[in-house]
Amino acid sequence: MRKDNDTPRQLVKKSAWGIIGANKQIIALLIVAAIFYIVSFIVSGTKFIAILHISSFMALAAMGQTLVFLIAGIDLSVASLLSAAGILLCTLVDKGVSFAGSVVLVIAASAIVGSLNGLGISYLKIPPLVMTVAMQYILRGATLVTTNGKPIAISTASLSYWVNQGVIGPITGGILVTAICCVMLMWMLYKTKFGREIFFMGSSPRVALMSGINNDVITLKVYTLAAALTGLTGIMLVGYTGTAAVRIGDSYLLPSIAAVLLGGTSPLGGKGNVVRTIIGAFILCNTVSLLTVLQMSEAARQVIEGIIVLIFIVVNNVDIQRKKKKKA
Amino acid sequence: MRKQSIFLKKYGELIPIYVVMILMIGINVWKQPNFFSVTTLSRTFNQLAPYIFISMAQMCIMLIGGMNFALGGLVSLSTCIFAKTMVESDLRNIPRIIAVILLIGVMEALVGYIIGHFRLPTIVVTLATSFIYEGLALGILPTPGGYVSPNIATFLTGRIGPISVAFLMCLVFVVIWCLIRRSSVGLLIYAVGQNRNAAFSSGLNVTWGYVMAFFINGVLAALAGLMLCARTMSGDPRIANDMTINAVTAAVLGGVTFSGGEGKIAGTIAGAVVVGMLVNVLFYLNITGFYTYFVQGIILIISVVVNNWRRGARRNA
Repeated sequence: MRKDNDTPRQLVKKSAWGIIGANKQIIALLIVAAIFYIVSFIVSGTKFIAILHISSFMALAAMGQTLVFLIAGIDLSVASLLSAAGILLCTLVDKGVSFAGSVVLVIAASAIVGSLNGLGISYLKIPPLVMTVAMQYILRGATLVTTNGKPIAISTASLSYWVNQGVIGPITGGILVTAICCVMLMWMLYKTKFGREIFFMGSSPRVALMSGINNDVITLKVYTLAAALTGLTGIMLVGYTGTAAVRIGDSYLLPSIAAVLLGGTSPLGGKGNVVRTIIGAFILCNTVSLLTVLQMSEAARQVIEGIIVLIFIVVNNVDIQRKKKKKA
Repeated sequence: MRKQSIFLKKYGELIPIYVVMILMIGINVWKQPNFFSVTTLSRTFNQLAPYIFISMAQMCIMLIGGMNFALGGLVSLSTCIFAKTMVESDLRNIPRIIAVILLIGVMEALVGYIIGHFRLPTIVVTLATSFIYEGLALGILPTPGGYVSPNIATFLTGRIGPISVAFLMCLVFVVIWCLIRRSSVGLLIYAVGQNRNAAFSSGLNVTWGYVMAFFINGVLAALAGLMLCARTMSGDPRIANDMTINAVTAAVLGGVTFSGGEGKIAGTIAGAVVVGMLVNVLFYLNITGFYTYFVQGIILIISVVVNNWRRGARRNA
């Protein structure tokens, strides 16, 4: 489009349109999010920062999932890992380990679980879905055996206070941690070699392999990183709810995947990023709060969430197909 | 190369799973001396029938590529609908049961159409539908209960002469599947599973393949729900939610691959019997309650690894 004889004014105009054109999808997503927020604000009157606070946990849970989706995988062990991380944290704190120490230990343990996932998927060639479902069952069995199914309360109130109250002005600890993770992950995805390799492998594992990228190592790293993020989310959830229970993570499994899909990250890999997921989580939380205020039952809420996710999958996919046709 | 008999070539890969199955049955016989009596056998079949149906249902989807994540939710939903629609008069119950089975089939066929037409990944769409089914089940029947006609329940869990009705039903549907497998629909499902693009290029109707695979899957899931209803005499919105993983394990144990287009009914049934009997065997081994999750997860991983390794060995040979 850009010609050499354009006047400066035309150039500015064109590049402005260029920025909007390049980010068309993300702008559309933001508009959808704004509409969802305005509707839910009119109906329920929930404050922006409150919704942001609730959605920060979902966004954090969905970030690891986003990374896994980028290499065309899926991580269903999230549900049990969230619970397991919370239970481990409470147990360690009870045993007298210092708080910072137990946080580090929990994240390390989660990373080990993730690396087991990664090893199974890359070296034993187990499909991601099966490996992570199996891991979910193993972790659930382990947590049930250790806790006998009873919830554990956290003995330090400071975590709960820090997560839920304003740290910097109205910004709560939950929002702060999510924002920091988001910035770091975006930097990793777009500015480091590893990040570019993730996109490369996600778009076409075969081509990546032929260009000398070690897919197995990337898979291993991505699953480990995702599980570490999930462990962090588990800790934040303990702060959010004040207790750790075996089933606490189950209600976060499908929303975490839904948030990723709502944000337009492709389940086929190679397309999407973390910011989109955060917007997706925001949309989802608005929907949930809207449906709660409308006094929908848990069952009806689940059905409507499922239908919304289905619609978004279809819409996103139609968009991809149209693009492919245009190129051809 | 040494000549192998055709039978061994075709069914040789199923030998290990049948050995495991006989081992499982052996443990049962050892611990339960009256295993082969008519009543015990029919009780065992009542326990196994839901596993066999749900594993066959999962096999249908895995043959066309992908897997149905909503299967457990679908079975739970069907038990709820059965328990809600049954009335006192059995004459009016039979058309109702058939209508519910067809309804579940058509619902799934619609999902199949969405997947085939928009070319969506099966796993993600069934994840969304699992949300929907579980929600619907809770909406229809918030707590376990409802009404199941005692006559129908006793008929389904009883026996005709010495042969259990559950066994006959499994047999009938295995025969039906064998007929479907040899018809154009079965070939279409296998062809799409092997290579979707090649199937499309050869002028096959890929979307129709998905619709049929999901329709069969839905009908089988509804039958599993019916058997569960007959056994528990009630509907339960959560009864089968954990059965998705069992169905996948059974199909994988039976040699069905995740890439699609490969797998046999004979293997799947052996896999289903192993998975169904596992609960008994774990009970005899004193592994109960919370540990079963642990064991299920590990068995799933092992079965997939063994399956992969066997396929790799066959390719290299």
